[in-house]
Amino acid sequence: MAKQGETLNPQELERQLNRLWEAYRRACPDPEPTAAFLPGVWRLIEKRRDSTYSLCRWAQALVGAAAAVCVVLGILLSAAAPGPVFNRTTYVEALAEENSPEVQLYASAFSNENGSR
Amino acid sequence: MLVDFELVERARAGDDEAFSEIVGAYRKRVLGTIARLIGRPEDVEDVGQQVFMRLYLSLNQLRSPEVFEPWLYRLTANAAYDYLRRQRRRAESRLADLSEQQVVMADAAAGFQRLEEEHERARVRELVQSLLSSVSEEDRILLLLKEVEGLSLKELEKIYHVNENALKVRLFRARQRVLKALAAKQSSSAASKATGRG
Repeated sequence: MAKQGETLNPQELERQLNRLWEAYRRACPDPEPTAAFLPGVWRLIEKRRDSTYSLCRWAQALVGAAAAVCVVLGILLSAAAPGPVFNRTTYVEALAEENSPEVQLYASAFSNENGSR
Repeated sequence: MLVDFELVERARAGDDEAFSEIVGAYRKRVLGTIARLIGRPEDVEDVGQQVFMRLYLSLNQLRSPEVFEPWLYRLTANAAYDYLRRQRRRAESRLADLSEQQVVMADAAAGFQRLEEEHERARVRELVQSLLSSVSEEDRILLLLKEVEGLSLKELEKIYHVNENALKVRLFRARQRVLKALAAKQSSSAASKATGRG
């Protein structure tokens, strides 16, 4: 390292940084793993597996509950009061109803009443 | 490669024994890389275990055994990055007590000579860590992988899935920031020396 107090030129600063990287590498050698390392890895894996499994079970339970609610709602809706009449008659039925003798009778009575006035 | 492709294939197929063999082969290298990336020896094993746990869970995403090592480096860099971000969030008192912890550990373990050596190593670690605090966690990891781990741009390209030119630009900027921090450190220590003399 350059003596402190000197103003360093860029090249010298670059060289100093390179030397510092090397020193840092030496200051942080590969540590020896302890005997507990591998069991620790497996413990973490098991823990993650368990949490994933319980998450899956929760998700499955929620999906099941949602499906049950859908079925119940469907049953309730179908059992509710029937819709209005016009929904249940077809176009042909409505036309026939319009030309029924009863309707014709009312129509002629109405026109006669208007004519007498 | 420290292991053969067949072992990676077996681990990928769900063979736990093969996976344990891979951990045995790579743990020292991974722990060394983590030690240099995070600069806190006491947390190295925890981060290393995280790396291998992530490896186990992501082995099925590995495209082919040929890219196993860059994949492992990527997981290592990601775990170190997560650790550094957590540390920043916790805002622990770190650099100042790091050297102190090292000195205390060394003091208990060995004699004066070793204590001196450990003190010097702690000083270097402290200096590098303080210089690296001038760059983001991502750039810090990239810079250390290049400058300290000695990975080539081609290897970094495989790890980061970023083209070489983008990496060069990023590395250049990060290095410039570190150089600036080094120059500032030098001038401040020169100034304090001059004040001490005066």
